[in-house]
Amino acid sequence: MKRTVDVSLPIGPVHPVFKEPCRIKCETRGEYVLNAEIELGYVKKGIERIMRGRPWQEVMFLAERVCGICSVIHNMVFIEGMELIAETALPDRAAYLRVIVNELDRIQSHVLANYSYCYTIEHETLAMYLLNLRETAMDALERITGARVTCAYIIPGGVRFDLSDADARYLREAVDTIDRELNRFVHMFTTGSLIALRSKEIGILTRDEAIEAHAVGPTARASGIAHDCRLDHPTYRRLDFSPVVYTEGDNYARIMVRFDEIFQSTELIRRCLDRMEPGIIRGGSEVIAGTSRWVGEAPRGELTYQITTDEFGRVTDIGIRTPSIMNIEACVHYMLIGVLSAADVTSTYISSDPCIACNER
Amino acid sequence: MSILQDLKNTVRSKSIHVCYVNVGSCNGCDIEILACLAPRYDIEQYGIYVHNNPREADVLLITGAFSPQWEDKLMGLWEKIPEPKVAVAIGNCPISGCVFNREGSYLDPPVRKHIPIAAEIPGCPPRPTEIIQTILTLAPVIFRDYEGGAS
Amino acid sequence: MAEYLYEKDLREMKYIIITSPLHEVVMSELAVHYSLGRQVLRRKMINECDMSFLENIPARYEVWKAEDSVRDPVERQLGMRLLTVYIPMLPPEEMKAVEMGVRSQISEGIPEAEAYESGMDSIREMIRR
Repeated sequence: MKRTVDVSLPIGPVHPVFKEPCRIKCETRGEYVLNAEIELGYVKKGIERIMRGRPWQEVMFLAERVCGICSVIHNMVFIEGMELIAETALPDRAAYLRVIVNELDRIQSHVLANYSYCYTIEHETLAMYLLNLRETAMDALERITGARVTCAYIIPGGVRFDLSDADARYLREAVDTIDRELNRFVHMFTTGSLIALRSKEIGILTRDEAIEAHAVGPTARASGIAHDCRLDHPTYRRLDFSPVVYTEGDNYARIMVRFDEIFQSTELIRRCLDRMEPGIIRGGSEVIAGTSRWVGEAPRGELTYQITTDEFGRVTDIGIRTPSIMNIEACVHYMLIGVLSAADVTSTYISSDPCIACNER
Repeated sequence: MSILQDLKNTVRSKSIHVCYVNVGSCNGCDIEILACLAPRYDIEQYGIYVHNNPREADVLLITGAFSPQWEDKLMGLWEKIPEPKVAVAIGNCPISGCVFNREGSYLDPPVRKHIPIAAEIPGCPPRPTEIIQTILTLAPVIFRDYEGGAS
Repeated sequence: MAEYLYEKDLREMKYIIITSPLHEVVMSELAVHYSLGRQVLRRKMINECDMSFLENIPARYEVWKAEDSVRDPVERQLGMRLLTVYIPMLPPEEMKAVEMGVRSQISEGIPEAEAYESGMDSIREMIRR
């Protein structure tokens, strides 16, 4: 990949639209991007190395701090992996509560991703509306779990706190507010002709390319791959839903997939609240030696934990594959190629919802 | 110090520009800084403008413990910020390394080893209100007794 | 070694990426398959791929394995698409030449194991280069 080109355009590591440091190096002819490379390592923490040999009680909190934006799903996938090893039965109410918290987390993550995109294409009004809407989801999350970020709500055998009737009423109101407000914003987004000009037909990821790079989550679903790991999850399967799929594969489709998934999440939360029966929220069992591989659908896509424990409950080996690894790769090596201007490079990059902290662990 | 300089400094302390840099955090603190921008907390009503340009910043917010790639870059970034300037460490990571300061980690906390830190906000992550409060407390301190910038 | 004006030597960071637990699994499978040392493979990958490719190697390897069953035995044995498309560390033209060589050898009646071995030899040669 080392060639002499007209212009080599480095973007980052500190850039106004990047929420996290990374460096995109574009080889360009004029502003036409011929090739792009990414330089990482700015947030490399070595979490997998720290986790090794530690008791699960510590690894649980470390797993949450792989990514601050989608901390709930990291917690959930690690704990469910441990439950798979220990064969822990999960009370019904706890299973639904997990789904509720996970979907709230998905809502705030998707809203944040779309906020970033709107901010990048300089539509600051819509961006600020969305950021304010995110606070509604954060409030609900805080009311249920006690913390805004890294809440450690999901614990082996169940969840930490129960949901009172008042909380349930509050949650229903919050979900209704999100639905109502978001309807307006989606209308603004779809009818804004300037937004369409900045988003449609830009940064295209075809279905074959998405398969080749193993793109996951909204990035893959915007390219016509109807894959959602929630369909394999025992609790989600009871809530019957079908994944949101767009086939265009451009920036616009990726943003619309996220908007539609927020509506889907609010619907799932309502369904959980309807079906939840009073009961215990925590069971339990003993940790034994074993190996498990558990996959969950993070807001950004498929998240895999591969865990090996010994009989004392220590994690002897762990491998984490986060969705951003695949999505950033797909973005840099397929979406950015052929982008017509440097301004579209940043907006295309942001539209794939990159999370460098996940990517590097 | 002249009265004119005093007046200038007072006015300047009402308009603070903020730059943030992530030197190896988990994102949790970064999104709490972003939440400060939301109309709910509305950091701009206090005269604080958050963007990511070190060349016109007064306050540098640092999140995360220190990862090896930043060794040569953070000092360069710090030198790009014009005087007067302060750095604020947000969250436990830049203060102590939090959960990442363990055997096997690649990080090199605390950040105050690398650049001077004026204030530290503990928390994993701290609340947006705490971040805003810290910047507001620091604002008058940055420009107090500042003599330069006469032109 | 190229001299950079403002770029850093990234080999150390790339090595950190490529020694994570999931990469080790892939690396040990590849090392056994091609009977090469892990460090030789790692060096080739670090020289040829950028950082996001390196992070994505386990996922790409899985995609290749999933499409493995529909492909012919020559592909499965030599991993042409694996080494040129999924983990792009060898030039496609040279890989094509190796593939043609092996196929013609098989059609000429040389035992398959022997033909694969000669193909593997040239791949090993290319990776070591």
